[in-house]
Amino acid sequence: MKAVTWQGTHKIEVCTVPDPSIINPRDAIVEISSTAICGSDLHFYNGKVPGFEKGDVVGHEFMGTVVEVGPAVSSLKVGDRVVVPFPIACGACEPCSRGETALCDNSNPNAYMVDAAYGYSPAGLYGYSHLYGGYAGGQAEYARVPFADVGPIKIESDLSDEQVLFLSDILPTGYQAAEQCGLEPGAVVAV
Amino acid sequence: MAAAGIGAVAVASYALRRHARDVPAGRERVARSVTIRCDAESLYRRWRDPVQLPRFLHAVTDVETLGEDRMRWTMRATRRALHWEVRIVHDDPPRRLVWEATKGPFDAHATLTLVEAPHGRGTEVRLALGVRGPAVAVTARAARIFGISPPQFAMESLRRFKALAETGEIPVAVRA
Repeated sequence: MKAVTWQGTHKIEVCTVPDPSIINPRDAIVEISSTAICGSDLHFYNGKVPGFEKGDVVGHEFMGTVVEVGPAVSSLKVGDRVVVPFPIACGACEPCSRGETALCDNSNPNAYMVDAAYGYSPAGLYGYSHLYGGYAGGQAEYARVPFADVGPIKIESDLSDEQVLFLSDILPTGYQAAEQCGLEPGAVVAV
Repeated sequence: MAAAGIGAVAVASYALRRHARDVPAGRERVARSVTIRCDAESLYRRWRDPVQLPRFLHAVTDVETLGEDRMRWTMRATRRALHWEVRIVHDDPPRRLVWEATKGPFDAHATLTLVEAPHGRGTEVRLALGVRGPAVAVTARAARIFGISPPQFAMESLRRFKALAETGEIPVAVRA
């Protein structure tokens, strides 16, 4: 498949890479219909994120259609239309049980790398270097989605991709900021 | 002359005390803990099952049962496979499990303790490791030559165990 890959500072290339496949029983494969670039992508574009290797697929805001599910996925089926959130969440650990899915204890296989930098690792992330698990990102034709029965948001209406894609990151990110600031209608804010 | 003698004894004593800090003599050298949202009984059973151990123990690729409470563990941290005979020397379900590893590149011991976590959060699982030998400071460096870091072994094993217990699988990412 074709995918957008990091090749160095200020070097992004579209390359042909192997298609993803089911590895763990709770994985799904999503055929991507729409994908977005995030302001956070600028950090690795500018060479500020350690842990990238040439050829890593980038992108963490994507949606599409489920084309394959692992044997332990019951909440999604082939053909479901889903938006995939940026952090990968297991749904079972203490942070996930509190709804703090970006702090999932169980989704970063390279947690030891982030421990050294931050003291304790947050969740694994799509397309954001090996520090956060080395998961291939969603600026591609297909993506492997771990814990597919937890994160992906099923879209069961005729809302267009453009209307729902940003549920993956920037809409909840902005919403969380507003909520944490205790904003009320009519508040004057600097963004 | 007396002062020089006293001085020599002081230096030797300091050197021995400093070396003694590196010799575990039954103390663990490193310990790591995680809290897992499961009951202690089910967690302890997993650690007692030789079939499950290679699924989550860091760099352990095979566990062969040799007899009751005796196993042969194979580790592959570098290209070279390393083997130990591992014996369970203390089995107190669901609270404490102690292994001794011998007949390998170095001797080691490990202690697993399980304690109920506060406020119904599950179980705190602690893994403590020590290497043993007459010159343990050298032995610990030898361990690193074999690609084995006790703190990494403890933390990665516990992380993998927690993921397996809480989610049924261990996270893995394969580069496209």
